[in-house]
Amino acid sequence: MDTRILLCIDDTDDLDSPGTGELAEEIGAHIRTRGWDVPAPITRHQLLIHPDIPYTSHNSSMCLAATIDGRHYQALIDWSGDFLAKRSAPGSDPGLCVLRPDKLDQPAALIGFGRRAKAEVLEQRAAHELAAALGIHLSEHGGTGQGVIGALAGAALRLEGKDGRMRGTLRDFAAGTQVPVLALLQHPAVDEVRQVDGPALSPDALVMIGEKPKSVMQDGRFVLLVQADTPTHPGIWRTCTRQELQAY
Amino acid sequence: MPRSYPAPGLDLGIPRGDHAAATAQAARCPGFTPDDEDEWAADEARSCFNCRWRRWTPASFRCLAPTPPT
Repeated sequence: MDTRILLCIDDTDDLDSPGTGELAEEIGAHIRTRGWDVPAPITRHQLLIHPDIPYTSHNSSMCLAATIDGRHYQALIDWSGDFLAKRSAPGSDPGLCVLRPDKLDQPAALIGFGRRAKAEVLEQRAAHELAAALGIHLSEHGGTGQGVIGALAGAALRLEGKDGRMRGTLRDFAAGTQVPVLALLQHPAVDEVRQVDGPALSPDALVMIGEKPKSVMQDGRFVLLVQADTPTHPGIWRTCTRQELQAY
Repeated sequence: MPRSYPAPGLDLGIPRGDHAAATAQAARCPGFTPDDEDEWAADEARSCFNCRWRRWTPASFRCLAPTPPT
């Protein structure tokens, strides 16, 4: 039976090792080799930057959504835990969170934890207690295991669908080209093309593709945010720059 | 009780969001190494804000480059 899952990892790297996003990508690749589906991009979730938090350099977690054969749920958790133990950087504090959104009785409690992790210093014990109460898998795979806080928070924020930006970029669209919204919507990482402070664009609107465009999570959808490009291309929109997307 | 962790590295005095200063600093830095692109924060590729050795702080960042920047 197909089961939708969220899988989030955090604190797997150091300054010299592959980033957490790269490891999340490898877990996604493993899921695909099993014939299961990873239909949307991995999301990056920025958590609080604070002197009391021992992050490597940016304190972000990476979350993927997948649809798997539910009979292999525990086996995937076991594989992912072993993978993190082997592939995380020495001295890192990796954490793994896996949950089935359809089985969550109190999603609001989890989402509240995710929001708090963006604003407060949270304790490892609180993460474990909440995960246990909600029937969520949360495990430590080295070091202090402090990454469980970010792993749980990242899964919570992905579940809520109002935070984070896609890992990678919309590589199918070359910078400097004008693309109709209808074509952009065919991409698995674009559910909607929307003005930063305004409504969605119509399917026939044109968007000038900038360098390394990314979609962000808004209202549970991958949204490509655009701005009016009035000075150079009247009537045409442009994708947001990296600096403009820092808030997401 | 949470404990505070000592802030490693150097404070280069570049406020978060000062892209001109971060670009100028990186241009003359022999240790600049681009971070994973998903962690880039500046449009200009060669910027302290995109460097593997920057560690974000609430105010800005500290530089952890093995070779201290000039």
